[in-house]
Amino acid sequence: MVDIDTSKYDFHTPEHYAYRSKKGLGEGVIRDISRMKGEPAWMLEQRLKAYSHFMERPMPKWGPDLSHLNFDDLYYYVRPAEKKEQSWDKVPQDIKKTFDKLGIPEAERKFLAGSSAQFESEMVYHHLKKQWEEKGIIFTDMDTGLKEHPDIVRKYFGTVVPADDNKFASLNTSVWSGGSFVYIPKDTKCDIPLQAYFRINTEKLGQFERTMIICEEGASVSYIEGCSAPVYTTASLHAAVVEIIAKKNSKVRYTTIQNWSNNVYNLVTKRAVAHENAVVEWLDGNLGSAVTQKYPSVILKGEGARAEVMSVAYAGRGQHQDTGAKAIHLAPNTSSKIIQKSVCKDGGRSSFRGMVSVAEGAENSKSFVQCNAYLLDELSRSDTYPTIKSSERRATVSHEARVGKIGTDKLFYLMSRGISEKDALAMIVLGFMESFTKELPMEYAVELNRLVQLQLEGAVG
Amino acid sequence: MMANLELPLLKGAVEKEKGVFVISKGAKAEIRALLSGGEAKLRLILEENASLSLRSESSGASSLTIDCALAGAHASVDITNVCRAEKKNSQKSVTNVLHSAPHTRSIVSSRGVAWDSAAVELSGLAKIERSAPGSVSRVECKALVMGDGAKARADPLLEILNNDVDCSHAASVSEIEKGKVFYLQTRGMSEEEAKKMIVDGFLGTESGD
Repeated sequence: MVDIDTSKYDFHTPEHYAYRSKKGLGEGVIRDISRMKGEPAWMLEQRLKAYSHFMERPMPKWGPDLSHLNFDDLYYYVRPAEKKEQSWDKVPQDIKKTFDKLGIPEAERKFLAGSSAQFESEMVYHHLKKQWEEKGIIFTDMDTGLKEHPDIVRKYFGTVVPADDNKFASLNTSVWSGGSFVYIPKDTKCDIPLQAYFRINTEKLGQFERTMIICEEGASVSYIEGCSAPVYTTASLHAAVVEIIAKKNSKVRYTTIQNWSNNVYNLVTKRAVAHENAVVEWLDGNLGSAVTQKYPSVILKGEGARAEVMSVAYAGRGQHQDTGAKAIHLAPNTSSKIIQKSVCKDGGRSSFRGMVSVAEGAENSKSFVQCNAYLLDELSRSDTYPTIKSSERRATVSHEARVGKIGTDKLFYLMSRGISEKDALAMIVLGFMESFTKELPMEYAVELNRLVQLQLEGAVG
Repeated sequence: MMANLELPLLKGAVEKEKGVFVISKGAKAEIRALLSGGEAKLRLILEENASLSLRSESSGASSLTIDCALAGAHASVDITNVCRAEKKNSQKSVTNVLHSAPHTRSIVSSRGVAWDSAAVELSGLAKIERSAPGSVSRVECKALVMGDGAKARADPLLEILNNDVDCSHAASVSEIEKGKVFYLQTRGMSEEEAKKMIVDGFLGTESGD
């Protein structure tokens, strides 16, 4: 097996900020954020409305334990460098080093159309190749998006995930900062993936990105986002909101690999609306964080719309991955497929929480849900909570799940071929996740495999 | 409380207190429960090497909860729930199996049919405790939606705290396969007869009668 330098994934660069808001949350902080960004009045109004909803809404009573989360002990807005950078050479040295360790620039130059890296709460590096600009594709950070395309943002902001959707969506709406804004014009195919790299770097920093992807009729796009964070001692919060609008005959694929440090609360609302014959695909890999709650959803609103959610979760010591997917079938001939694979080790816990709902009138809709879990030791735990609701006779929904340990016969077979137990185990686990990894761009697949291998070290014996 | 719950067959189980049945060490028990409306709850405790086969049938507007604890090693349980909901009735079947001893085995199959504008809710939970290595569990919740205004919900749940297990669950909500109805019609059956036969097969054959 490849030798891995663990330090590569666990590092921390000295703090250097242009502006940092006061600790804690309040109307004053929200007004400050909005003023700093020079936002239009309607956005401030949205933020304040969301804030009052956030204050009223109780903490969710279901799911993982969030009692350690202290909203008053977080910073809600941090901006590392004053100016946005267009060229790589001008990006500050320490920030660049962080990306270098993750091997981003090489890959970006070769494969990616545009790259905007979110370091802290705002984009520092933003780059979009000319060819895409000529096609009219907009790929920028959300703040710039709001400044330069206020009409588009205003038209769609909060239409997929309303401010009062859930407590953490309210929080995001009130203090959001950064995130990506993607707009693909009609009949435009963006066949090289757009990518953004997100990082958390200040202790007790909450990150609240707001990402919005609008794919017009007949257009297609693939968006990739990856996260990795250094290790800290106190809890950090990441509460993002992602909204996708896939118009008629369009295709959107959203890929995420998240490797937050093991003290991060990752509470994310991701949702897409798929119009007539649109295809929405979520690919979601969750490796790190203390608690992850993430259920990428697709609302199948137009006839013939299709959704696919494929995810992997790895839960190690002290981690709870509460992930899953939702598919809401509202129109006839819609279909959804949800596949989740999870691996638990060292007392980690993974929960699959799924929901497939078929409304009356969504004739001939089909849904298939499958989740499989491997428990690698006797301390770990795996739960499956799928829910199927159907109000339509002419619809077919099915679900299956299987939980177990790795068969000793499989291990024995590989070991009889001269492979060490450790390598055999990694091989089986990576093979188990392969249907997910093979969907990823090559450099992401390599990184994911390495991260999983890192986590597995010492799993046996 | 359990006015509408009848137990026409009760073999090998001892009622310790109202609604709580114990299947003692090594015993083989068989229970058949009929619920014709209202709410009812059955609690079952299986000791070492005990085995139980339980079949429940619900009709009318009803809700049946079965809590089963596999308390002794090698205890084994088979539970089949059959729900037939018609008109505007709503029916609920909840089965919770707790594996707390090693090498225990459970098979839960809940099947429901919702006619007219009835609603069927099937929930099956298998919880495997840390103290239950070597356990095997199968949970299945399947519903047929027959009526235009009918609704169905299926929740097969697993909570697993042990890695030495073999657990799986499955669920489905759908209408009758058109191909099956068509096949029977080509054999001279009317559509109604064909549907009735398929529904009977769906509710009865898979887990034995």
